[in-house]
Amino acid sequence: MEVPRNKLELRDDPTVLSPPILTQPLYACAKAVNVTGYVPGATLDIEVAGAVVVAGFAAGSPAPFGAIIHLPAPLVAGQAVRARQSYGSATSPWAAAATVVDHTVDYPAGPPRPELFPTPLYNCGVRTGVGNLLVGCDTWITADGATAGSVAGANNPQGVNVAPAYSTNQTVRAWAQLCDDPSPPSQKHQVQPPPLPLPAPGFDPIYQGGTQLVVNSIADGAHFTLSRNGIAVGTLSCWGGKCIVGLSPAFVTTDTLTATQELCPGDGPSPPGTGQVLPCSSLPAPQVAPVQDGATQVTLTAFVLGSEIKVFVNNVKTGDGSGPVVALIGPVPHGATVDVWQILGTCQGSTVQQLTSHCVAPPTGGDPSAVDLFPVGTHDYDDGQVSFDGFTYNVRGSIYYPADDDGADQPFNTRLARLGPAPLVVCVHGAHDPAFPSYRGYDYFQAALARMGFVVVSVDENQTNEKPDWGGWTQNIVRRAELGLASIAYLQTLNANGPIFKGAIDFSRTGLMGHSRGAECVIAMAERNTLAGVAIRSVLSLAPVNSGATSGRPKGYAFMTFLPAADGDVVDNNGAQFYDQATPDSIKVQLYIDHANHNFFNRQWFNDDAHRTNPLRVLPIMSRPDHERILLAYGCAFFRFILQNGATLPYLIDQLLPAGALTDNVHMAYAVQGLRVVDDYENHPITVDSEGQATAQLGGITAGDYPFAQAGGAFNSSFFGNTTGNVMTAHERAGDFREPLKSPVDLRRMEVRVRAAEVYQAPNIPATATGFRVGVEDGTGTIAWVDVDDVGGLSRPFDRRAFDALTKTMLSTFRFPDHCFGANSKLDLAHIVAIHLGLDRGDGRPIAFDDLQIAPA
Amino acid sequence: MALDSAHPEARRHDRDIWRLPKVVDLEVGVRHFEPPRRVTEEGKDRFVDEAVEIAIRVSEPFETRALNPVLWVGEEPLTVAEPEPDAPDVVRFYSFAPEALQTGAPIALAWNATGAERMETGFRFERGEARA
Repeated sequence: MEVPRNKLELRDDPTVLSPPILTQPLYACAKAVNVTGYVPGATLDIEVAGAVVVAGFAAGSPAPFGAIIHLPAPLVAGQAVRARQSYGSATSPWAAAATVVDHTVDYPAGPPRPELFPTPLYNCGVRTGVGNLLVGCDTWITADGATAGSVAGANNPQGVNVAPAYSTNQTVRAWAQLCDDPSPPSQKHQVQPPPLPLPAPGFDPIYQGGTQLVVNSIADGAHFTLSRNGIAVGTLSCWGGKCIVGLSPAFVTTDTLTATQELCPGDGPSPPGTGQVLPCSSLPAPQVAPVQDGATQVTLTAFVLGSEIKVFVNNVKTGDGSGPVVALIGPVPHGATVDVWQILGTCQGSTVQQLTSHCVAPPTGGDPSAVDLFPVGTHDYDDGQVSFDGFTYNVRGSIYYPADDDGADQPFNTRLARLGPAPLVVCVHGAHDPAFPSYRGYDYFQAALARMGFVVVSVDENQTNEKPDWGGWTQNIVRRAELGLASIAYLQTLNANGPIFKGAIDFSRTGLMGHSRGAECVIAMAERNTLAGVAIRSVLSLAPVNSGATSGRPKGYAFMTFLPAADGDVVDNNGAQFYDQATPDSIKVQLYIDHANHNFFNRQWFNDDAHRTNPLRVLPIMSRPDHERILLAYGCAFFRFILQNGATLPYLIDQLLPAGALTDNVHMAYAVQGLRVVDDYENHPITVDSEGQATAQLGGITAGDYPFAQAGGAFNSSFFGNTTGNVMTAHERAGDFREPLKSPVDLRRMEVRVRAAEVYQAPNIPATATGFRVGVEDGTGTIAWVDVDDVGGLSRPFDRRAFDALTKTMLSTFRFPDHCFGANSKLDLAHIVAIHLGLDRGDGRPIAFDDLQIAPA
Repeated sequence: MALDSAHPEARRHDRDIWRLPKVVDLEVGVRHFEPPRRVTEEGKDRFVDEAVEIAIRVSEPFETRALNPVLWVGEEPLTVAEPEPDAPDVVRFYSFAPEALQTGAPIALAWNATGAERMETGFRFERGEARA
């Protein structure tokens, strides 16, 4: 909420400065470090191994990628490095020290491969961005094999000036090395003639008092000439897109800025673009990501480049730096009011962004699909036939794998192979018009996984889509599974005999991803697998049908399912049945995805199944790329966690949000192996819990066990899983369902988890949300409550009424960490004897609950 | 240059996956399988050598999609729907639990989803024959 600053009593203590943010990790041999989050114009000190090695570094503007500070000597593993900033008369605390490590700890197969951007590269281009670098490395660009530009001690990303300028048809690559350890080269990019005429450059909003502006619409690698009030400021080169320029003196509202751009001199400049200066009163408050209790930094989602950002917690200045991340001098307490203020030179924003910290508001982390280590090789196979039930199939498909270079049939990546065989992921498509090569539809997912070190196969099962086979339903899916296993058996021969894959595949780390019928098929594959040495450890079942081809109870592997809420084909979201019955070996995860249809996860499936005609029935859906982003983010997190022992679990249990995915549309349920189950409402009456303790219904509440399924005795017809749960209703504000523990629990560093949903009651969806609260009771009878709105809020039913009658009650998991309850100082968190589910809205609306658990926080 | 106003592209919906063909003829019989036919239920395979077969002649092919068509005999669903390879307008449904089929039950066609609309065929089930 944007509020006028003059209505607040913010204590702007000039002595408070945020510690700057030292980009981590730090690697040995790095010749430079990167620092962000400081006040524009501040000076920076860098301390290495207890000695200040850089003092009073004039850092200038932190936009757009912070300061790159070259060191007098390369870093050495084990050194501790710190940074601090000074501005005006104030000096910040030192940031927490970071320890230098050898890059082979994180990148045993060598530094990640650089990425050239933006592309395409144009004839006469003079500057290119290089990303995916380790800070402090050396990077260079070659054009037709000759070095065209280089930077020692690079930032990430790093702009590289190119001389001579690119020429059409040159092949350009980027390279990097650290500690004399070379990365693989970037993808090859061929220089193209630019589209002429070039467009007029544009300007992002320019504010009075600022000293930086952003010129946009710059062609890749072009240079542009900037003028202020008709007087040329200079000609600058830009990698393309947006380019930031610092000017002095500060802008005034009478300034007029103009720019033209040019690539080849003979082509002439573009038409001029013009920018005007907005008055200071137009400077908005920054946009801020939700703040979670205990946060030690604030993340901005929109701000003016080059601005200073001040953060106040309960009116006390707690941070002073710059976007996108401002470090705080102390953690945000529970329920604090956080005000974020933007200042641009002499212009002080008249409003601030105000928000309240929440008990649970997961921060956005990285992009689990963005790990880019290796070039990607591809290999199509078509080898032999197999027959099942009288149907004969070719064993064929497409393999993506980490290679020495990009392209078909390239050698397997030599350095990765030296480290041991790579895990395997097998993708299986579903039923679709056999005229389309469905198995090609997951190429983006295959490539992403291959870049991070997986061998990824997509099995061509199009012959199972021929009508006589397809119509077999359950048997069709069984045959799909057998054909998928035949491909794995074929891969074993490749692994045994080469030439590309000899010894390259670790079948003891096999994962499966199936879509639609393929999504039930992969569960059947796991159950039917008898191949020697093949251990299926993870299964991602995307929009599965449930024909009965499996036991219906995924077991013995980690399980994830996607339920597209706007699925117009598998309208029952049968994956919920598999999730409910899955044993959480390691973990099970369910994503109920608003605005997702059935088809858009496969690039060969063009039809929008959430759009029916005659009569017209339409559900609002995300774009196809947004569907793909969800599969990439969560799918890569899942397979990395299980098959590579990657640190991506937080994305699977709602502790981190993956960058780039529309996470507001994703409602997660999850369960981790080995947790204490207080109540799963299975196999006992509502009067006792799963620990055999007598429950109590208090405050006018009614609770009851119901099938959460399309079954007799269900609370209503909106449940589509396969389990039993508790539906509670209360017409008073004191509704309380008490679940005693068999033995007390020390809830410190622990959390309560429960699945819950607003029950959809046809035909109406109330205009406002409802909710509940969770209480924990200690041995003295003290109860501390936390509302679901403080941990994310109860999601609304996804409205399908314009499409069909299958609007659903679909449960999500909510976390209630210990610190949420800690605000009640009388509560003894070390001795909790009961958990309460409270209905305090007084609206009489039913809430569905399941899987009440206690877990490590 | 004139400024165009952006216009959203139409969503592609060139396949109506919920369309059902009309049933123009129907025949009930007993089918013997040699060799025995594999039938999987809850992930377990068994082999049967006989089933009640209801062969329907349809006005057009079914759309290939995730779900299968289902032939309802009263409240008993027959979920196997195998088009005849040489006569694709003939689709054979099988019941491996013939005792569940009630004589005189109306026969309807639908997609295999909760609440999917059932299209009455006008036929009723009679063992060994179908009556219009």
